[in-house]
Amino acid sequence: MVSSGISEVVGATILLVIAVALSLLIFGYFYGYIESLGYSLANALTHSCEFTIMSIAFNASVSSIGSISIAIYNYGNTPCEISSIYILNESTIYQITTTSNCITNPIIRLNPEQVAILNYTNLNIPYETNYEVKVVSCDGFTAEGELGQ
Amino acid sequence: MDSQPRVSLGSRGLGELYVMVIIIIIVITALAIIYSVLNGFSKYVMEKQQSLESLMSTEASASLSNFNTVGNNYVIAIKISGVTPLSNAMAVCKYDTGNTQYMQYCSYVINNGAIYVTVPNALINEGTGNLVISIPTSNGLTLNINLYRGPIEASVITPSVVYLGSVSTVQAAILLTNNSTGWVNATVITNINGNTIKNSTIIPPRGSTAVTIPISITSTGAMTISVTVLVNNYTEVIFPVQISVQQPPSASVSLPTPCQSQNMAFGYVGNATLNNLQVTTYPSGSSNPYWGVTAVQGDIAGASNPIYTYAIEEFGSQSYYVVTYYYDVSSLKIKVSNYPYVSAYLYPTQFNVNGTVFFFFVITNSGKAIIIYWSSNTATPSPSGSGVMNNLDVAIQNLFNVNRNNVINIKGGTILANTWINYILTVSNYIQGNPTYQYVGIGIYLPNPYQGYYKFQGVAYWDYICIGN
Repeated sequence: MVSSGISEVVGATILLVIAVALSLLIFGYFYGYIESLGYSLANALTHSCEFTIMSIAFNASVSSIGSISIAIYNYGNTPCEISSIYILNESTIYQITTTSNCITNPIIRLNPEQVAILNYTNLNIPYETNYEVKVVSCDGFTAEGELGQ
Repeated sequence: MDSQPRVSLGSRGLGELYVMVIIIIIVITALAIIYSVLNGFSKYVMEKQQSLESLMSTEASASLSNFNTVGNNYVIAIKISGVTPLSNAMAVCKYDTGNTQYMQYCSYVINNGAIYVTVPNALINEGTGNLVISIPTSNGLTLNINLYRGPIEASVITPSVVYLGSVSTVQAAILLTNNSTGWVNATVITNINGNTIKNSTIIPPRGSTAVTIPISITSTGAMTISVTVLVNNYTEVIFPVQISVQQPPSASVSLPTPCQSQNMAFGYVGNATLNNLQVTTYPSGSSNPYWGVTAVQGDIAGASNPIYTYAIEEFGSQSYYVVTYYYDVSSLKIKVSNYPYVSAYLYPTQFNVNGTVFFFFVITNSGKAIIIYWSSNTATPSPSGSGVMNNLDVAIQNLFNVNRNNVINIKGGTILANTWINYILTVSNYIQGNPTYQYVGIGIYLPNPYQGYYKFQGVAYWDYICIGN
């Protein structure tokens, strides 16, 4: 009996072509959506609050720094909860303040476009001019500034 | 021979192919999804990078524009470029005096591209220091402007000797120069005869101003007037003003021949008025030099009702300054041939040796200028330096539009402090033709300070300036 259908090779090739075409069609249709999904995913993964130190003032005697004022500014789009503040030089770190529970009791919650001055007294830190001040948020964002900037 | 039943290879083979096709679709779709997601990531990273590059290339600048007081606070206007400040945030103001620093919130408003920051009075009431204003901007940058509030340079000018009865009120000029990079509000407080006089003035950076204080002369003796200058409410130490009020000397100044009524065509002969007296300064329009003029109601060392003039300059940008006090006599059409003499009496009271030059001058309608100058009574007479008379000639040339080649300089003699000195100029000896007089007057030349706080000044009385025969 003489076969009247298409050959196996031709059939397989047609199926492969259909498969690739179908895949490309699906890819083309959902490309934009999936790409924006990737963009949003990247945004979510790298997201943190953003703030900067605007100015730092201090009062010092001959031997020690007694008080410090730090002005910070939230320039991001989400609130910043501040967890801790340090003053440090190459060899020593002094903790100005920190919070035990960052979620319920941050040092300050800084809303977007908000400026806040944080004042700390009775510090008694040995007087030097090469200190750096670090302010850390609950999500790990850090802003730095030089003492007296 | 039995033939074997034919097995359909096609049905089994195509079924495997279907599975393979599905697998291929899944693989391609999965790869496409991964590609899309990675593309999204890359787009995000690209945007962040562009945003960072844009931020790094931002050139923001702030410059001081104005300063004003509003109530007890100070409003500082700042011009900015390159960034947009937030419209509803607070600025931070820090006053830095070294190891003591103060920080406060400062409110601000934005109007017509300028930011008006209100700085609390208490913050800059702390003496010499730096005021740093930090303004938040929309792209996360902080705009800072640093205004140094340095000391105010203050000096007082008064005649050291005043004769009782010669003048009822002496104007003490208190000169204030702002050495800061920021505007300051300077308040001069004086206590005269139990009355407190308060004058406030705003001085721009590197600017100067003069505050005049009237002091009543009532009796002989030494007068000491305390002067307090508050700069942004911080007290500066100023030396007190001291004036010696004395009985007038009995000697009298004789009326020079050209001023005698039968000889005089024009003259100021002690008539205690400033009518028609004109004043010009060179360079014109400059804040330097400061000058003043008063018609004295009384007697100065035998000359009645002279005119009191002063000129002082400090920290000017020009190499010299000239003040002229003169009369325009052109309408009188006084011919030189008919009235060939011009006389002047000068009574210098304060001047800098080898610096200040007093002179009187005559200008005719033919464009001829004659300058008679007095030099200091020292071993090295004033004016020192070869360029002084050249400078003075240039000033006269520019002020009165005369040709430089038509300016004649004549040395009138040596200068004497607190003594009347006289010069009678025979104009006809220097003038050809028969022109008429156009201007006649007195002038003060001041070179620019050449060191630190060295100031040049010229204070003098003058009288009996006449054209006659």
